[in-house]
Amino acid sequence: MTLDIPKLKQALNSRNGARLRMWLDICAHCGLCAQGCHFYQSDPRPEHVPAHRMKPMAEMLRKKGEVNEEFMQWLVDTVYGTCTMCQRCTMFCPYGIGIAFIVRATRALAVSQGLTPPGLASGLQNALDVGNNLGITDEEYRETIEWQLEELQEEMPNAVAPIDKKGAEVLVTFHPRDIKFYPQNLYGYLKLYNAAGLDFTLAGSKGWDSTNIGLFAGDDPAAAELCGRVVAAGENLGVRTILTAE
Amino acid sequence: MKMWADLLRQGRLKLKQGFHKESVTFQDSCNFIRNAGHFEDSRLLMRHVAADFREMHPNGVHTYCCGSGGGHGLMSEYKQKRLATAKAKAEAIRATGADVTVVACHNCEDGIRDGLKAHEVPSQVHLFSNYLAEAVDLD
Repeated sequence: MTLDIPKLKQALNSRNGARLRMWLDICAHCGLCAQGCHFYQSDPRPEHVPAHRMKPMAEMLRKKGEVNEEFMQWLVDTVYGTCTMCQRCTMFCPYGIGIAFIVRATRALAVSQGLTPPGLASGLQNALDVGNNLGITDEEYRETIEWQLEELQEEMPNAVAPIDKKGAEVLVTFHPRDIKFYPQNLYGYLKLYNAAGLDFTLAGSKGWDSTNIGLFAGDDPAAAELCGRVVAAGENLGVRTILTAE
Repeated sequence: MKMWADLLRQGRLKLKQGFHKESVTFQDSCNFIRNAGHFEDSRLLMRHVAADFREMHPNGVHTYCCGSGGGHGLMSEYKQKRLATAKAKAEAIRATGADVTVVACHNCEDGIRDGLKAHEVPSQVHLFSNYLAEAVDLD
């Protein structure tokens, strides 16, 4: 691991806003957040107390970005490894501190050093390169839709699954795992929307993956790009609503 | 979920009342319930199609995370920790005694399935859309 300290400082400055500083300052380390966290409730260790997850950011600010590899590994293991950003702890905090917000800001520091955990990084790269996080080709996507529509038509002969239908009311998007591993889930969605007589369309190529790994990873430019593709697909088709998975 | 509840309220989506006979509980996801506030929508739909609906505790905005949020479903390096910390949710589900756990989030689906297996809780995991699709009244 080779650190790019100027880049780290730049990432730190971009996150160092008033809200983050205030939350770091007002945390009284009272520990009430512990009862909010499923990590702590399942496995009560000091490092599973949510307030602990703010420590890498607080230390980073104190050191003004002058940290070493060991520090960065600790940061990664803390903010990726011990938090799902579920925000339950915030409900138990007397000040309502947004610990997930700080965790995400801290993840962005790891992203600046190319330290996104491999599983997240590869899914994100797939999403950026291919258009969905599992790297499904357009052909596989369309074939899966046709297959599930044919299955559905045995139960509902008039069922449809329009692709790129301009002016439809609703754009239905998917989680890529529905296409690749659980195609029967498509059957369920198509059945519900056909049964309700909803005027819907699916997106042809880019813009059908409603997941956003950039958001999880803490990679803002990537998150904006992925979200923008779905929005663009909806705008091009002139829909009024975009539906995301469940 | 909001769309399905709206379609049901408008009478456009017809679902058979009490169609699912087996006992069932519902996973309130951090995204849809705690943060997006679709608690009422979810209960309208569940109470309509389930004959034996059981709340798990805590529920609603106090729901525990499934363990797979925030990218944990994709980070194999932290999998053992994820399974260990899925205990809070697994025990909440065990206490309901429900045969089925309905989930309305793809992260939750994987997280809960793995968590129930790791903590040996005998409840089947069903995705909400499929659970509702089975109850569609086509007559």
